[in-house]
Amino acid sequence: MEIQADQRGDHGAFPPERKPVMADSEVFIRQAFAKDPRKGYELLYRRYHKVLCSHAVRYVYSREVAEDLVADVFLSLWRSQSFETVLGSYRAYLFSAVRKRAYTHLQDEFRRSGLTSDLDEEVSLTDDDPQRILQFTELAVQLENGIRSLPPQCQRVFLMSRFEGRKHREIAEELQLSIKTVEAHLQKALVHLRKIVQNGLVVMLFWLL
Amino acid sequence: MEQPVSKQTVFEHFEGRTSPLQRHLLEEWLRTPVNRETYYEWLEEWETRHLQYIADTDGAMQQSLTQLAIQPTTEPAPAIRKPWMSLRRAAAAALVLLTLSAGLYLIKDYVLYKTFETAYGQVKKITLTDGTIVTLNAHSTLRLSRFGFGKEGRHVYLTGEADFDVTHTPDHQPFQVHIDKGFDVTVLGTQFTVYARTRKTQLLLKTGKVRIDYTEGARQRKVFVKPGELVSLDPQGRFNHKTVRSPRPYDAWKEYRYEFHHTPLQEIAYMLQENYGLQVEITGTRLAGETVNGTFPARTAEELLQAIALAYDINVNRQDSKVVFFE
Repeated sequence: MEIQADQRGDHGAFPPERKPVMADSEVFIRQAFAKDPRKGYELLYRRYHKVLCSHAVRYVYSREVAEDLVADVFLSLWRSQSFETVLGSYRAYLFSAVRKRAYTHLQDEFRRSGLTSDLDEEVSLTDDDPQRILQFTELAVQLENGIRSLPPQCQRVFLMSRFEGRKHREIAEELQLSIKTVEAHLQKALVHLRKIVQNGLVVMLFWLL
Repeated sequence: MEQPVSKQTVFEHFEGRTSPLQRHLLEEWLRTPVNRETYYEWLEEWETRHLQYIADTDGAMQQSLTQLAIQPTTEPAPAIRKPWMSLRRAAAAALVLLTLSAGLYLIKDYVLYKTFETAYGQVKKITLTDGTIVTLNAHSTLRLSRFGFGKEGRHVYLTGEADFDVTHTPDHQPFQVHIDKGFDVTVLGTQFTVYARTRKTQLLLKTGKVRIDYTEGARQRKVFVKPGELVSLDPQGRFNHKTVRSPRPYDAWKEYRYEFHHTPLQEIAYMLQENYGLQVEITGTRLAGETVNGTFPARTAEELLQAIALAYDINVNRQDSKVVFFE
């Protein structure tokens, strides 16, 4: 792991990286949007699609869901024509939109699966509230730790089902378990994760007060 | 300018390793819009370094464009897209050739040496038995003694380009990178990037300290390098030593990214030849003087070419392994 370009003066050689490098590449995207929106859209996709999907999957743990919600974010950027009006970078817009949508998805999912009744309150912090930004990041870490702390078999079943999108029956066959056991593992994992998401939300509400 | 929150702190926060105090500082820091931008910039960088998986961007983009009921850009596309079919064939042929020649080569050296190789367009991460991590860039080879490594010193032989994160052993065993043309790098534990192709040989040191032994004319010389220094040796044997501001343009390839800072198009042409085996020709006076800026994430030569072509309004035409940039 190398994290260079960190504290200035540390080895003196690399001053903290300055912004133009990244900003530069968005300048082209902006110019492209101004000249030919389709080109801009294509460039934007190429620039951020992979990294956004990878980020989204940290929350939803399903490639399919992650890709769907990233696609939604891009589409709504197009439909609302906000590519013309976005203040700040596209990067910040896209990341914050993807995180928000991933979180909403989790809430919906737990509500649908009947696992919860008290996740209804819509959190109304603004997108650029520091608390909210930090909490979204922390939620991803907590989910990762949560999944890591599942018993190995349960974790395996969960990832096969969610991340790989495999059917219960396939998982049962491959791991030589009964379908009932597979379902029990999944239920256990979901209850566990629901607590994490719920705690995340409790903290959010707390900060609202 | 005073920077109360370092990139390292933010990266640690992404990994869930910040103290409540650091978190408090972060929160204060995030109140400023400029810092929020920096936060997302670092988030992108961190995420890129720790991709959970590789999503299919092309597929998703095509689908999205259909949903918008707009066609993918038409003008430069035919010029770029069609000939690329033959790139696959060319790549396949190159791969077959490479495998064949590698096969012959391996028979000879197989017993004594372990060889790691990358094809055009491929980046490979290797962990050696001592824990040293080597990232091989495209079209590169790393060879090391099958039995002697770690016992009779740590020697590796490199052609092409690689990034090293060398582990310091308890018995302070030196790690040596040997490059043809009498250019040897000796280190204990450190991070650096080596570029060793026909055009030149160069080394960028990120942390630690290294010693380079090289031949200038008929003389044996040695030089010590400090972090942030870039040393290079051209084919005429001229030695060059300078300090760079950021290591990124030299090792961004590890994350399948290309960083260009006023990089002449010709330089990019060399890179395409070295990493992807393409012969590039640049026509027109405007293009000859064109320089490229910015960060381009690209897994393939095609992605890189498309991104540059779109951003700079350059036309790209390709037949077999020949690429022409024209106005």
